[in-house]
Amino acid sequence: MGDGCWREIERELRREEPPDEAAVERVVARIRREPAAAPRAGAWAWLTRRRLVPVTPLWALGGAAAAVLAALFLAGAPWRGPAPPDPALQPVQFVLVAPEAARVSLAGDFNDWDRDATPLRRASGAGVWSVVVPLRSGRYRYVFVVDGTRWVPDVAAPRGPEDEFGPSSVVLVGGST
Amino acid sequence: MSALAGLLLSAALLLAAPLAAQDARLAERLPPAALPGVAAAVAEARAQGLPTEPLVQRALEGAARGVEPERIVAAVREQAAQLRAARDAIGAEAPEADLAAAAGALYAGVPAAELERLRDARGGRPLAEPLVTLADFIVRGVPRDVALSVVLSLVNARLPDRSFAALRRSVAEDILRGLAPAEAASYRARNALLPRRPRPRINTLPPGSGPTSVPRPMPPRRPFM
Amino acid sequence: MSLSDSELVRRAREGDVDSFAVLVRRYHPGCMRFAVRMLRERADAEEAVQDAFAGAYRALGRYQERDRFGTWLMQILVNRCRSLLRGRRRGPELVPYDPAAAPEPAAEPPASPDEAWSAEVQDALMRLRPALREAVLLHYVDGYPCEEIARLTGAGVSAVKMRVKRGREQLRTLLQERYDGRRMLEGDRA
Repeated sequence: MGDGCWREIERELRREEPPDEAAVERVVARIRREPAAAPRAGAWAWLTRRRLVPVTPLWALGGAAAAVLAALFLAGAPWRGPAPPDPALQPVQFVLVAPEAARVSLAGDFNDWDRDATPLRRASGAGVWSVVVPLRSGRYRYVFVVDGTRWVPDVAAPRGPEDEFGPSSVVLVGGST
Repeated sequence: MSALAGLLLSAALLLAAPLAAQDARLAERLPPAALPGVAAAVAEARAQGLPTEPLVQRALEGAARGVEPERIVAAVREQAAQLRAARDAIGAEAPEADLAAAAGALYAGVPAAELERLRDARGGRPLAEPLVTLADFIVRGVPRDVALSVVLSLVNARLPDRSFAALRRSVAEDILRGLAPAEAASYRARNALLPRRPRPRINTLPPGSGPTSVPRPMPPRRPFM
Repeated sequence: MSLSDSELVRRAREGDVDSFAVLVRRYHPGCMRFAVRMLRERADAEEAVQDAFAGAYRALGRYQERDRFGTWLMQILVNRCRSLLRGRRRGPELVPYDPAAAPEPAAEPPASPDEAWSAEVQDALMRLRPALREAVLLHYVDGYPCEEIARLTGAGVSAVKMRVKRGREQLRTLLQERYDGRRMLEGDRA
């Protein structure tokens, strides 16, 4: 007796949904409005990937600038202070999308929180700012400083817990990210 | 002057030089009212064998952000205390990045005992990635126990460091999309821990609608109890 | 000639939206069936399913070949339905399970005994707490074994087995009387 009841219940639960062409069309229409499926092709992946390869994607900074940077890096020219080039330094790229900004810089543990020391360069007309900073391995907290006044964490990076002065982001250099 | 005295003098000068440089940064940038308190905290930390650069950077951050002197001093003292606790939890031989990350985790409210657990689970490998992940989750709103459990499972599963970075990115995106932080962290961690083996094919399609149609396996009937 | 799920996913990742549209067509009915059973309201179900497909599309870059697309999609849908349920205030559609409570009368008399039974099954289903409802649907309707459900939902395997068992028992208790009445009706008609 009990089995018969359950069989009926199961049969009812399993009853197929009739195809709803209109609903399917609505889903497809929404998908078409989405940005490109493959994150590799999209801006998000480009922005969120921490690149440790020296020349990727320096092309975005414009040919001449890229050539200068590449030459500086390869020649081992100093980035800060008179210290000789250090083979333990790894280039780390920081990117911020801020189309409305007039200027963007980095302040963090690697530049004594000096908002003027590390300006970002506009990488494209779409408001993408970027800079490549050579860093020794370690953990660094940092923020972007927009127009000299707004302290903005890096949305793509892990958050720093030490926030009594305000939010910050963390970058780990040294092989893993 | 004897050779030994000369040597000692040079050594003293060498030691003094970096100290003077550090003081110079603090002296140049800190509000004067903060200088004594910060300098004292830094000196004490050095005497205890703790890394001092994180303390200097914290002070410089406070100065750059225009924070009141008392808060700067308090923050530096608190960080020194956390570095000390971090060293006790994960060991004096830990790399500076690990100590800084551990101090961060303590700041976020992770109990020291849990840090020790993580250290043991990691078996001597660097701790920075899991600890940064742990702190990131907590700051983003994942409840502390969920964050700990997620990170510990990944550590126990011996997942490579790049998995942590990938996990952080997907959880951050999920949260930005509106998913509850606890749910995002658990869901993504589950995915990261899924074993790599082919799964039984189970059909959810109406029969005959595609090449993947296979007869649906019926669950065994249990007697009514 | 229809393409396999893996081939469609591969093409969709390279930017071929039409391939993803084929996947939508394939999985939409099954997803709607689950979502309607979980949420009851058709509009909510459609929203959950649409969100799940959109989420799957956005996350295609993270989809791994070793996952079956249907299972991966179902995991997204399960989470969407849970979010929607949590967002809802407790309304008349989420009456807690109470075998002593009289079943609610239908809002309007249904046209046929089959429709009546249909409505009663859904009513009974909505009286299960969401975790049980979910487990029953995933197991008995979509055919996932308990181990798979455990992975999908993040619960332990024994917890899932218990939910499946309890859900089934509660449904049967709630519907036994209606079923007996239905059998009698059929006997009359036969």
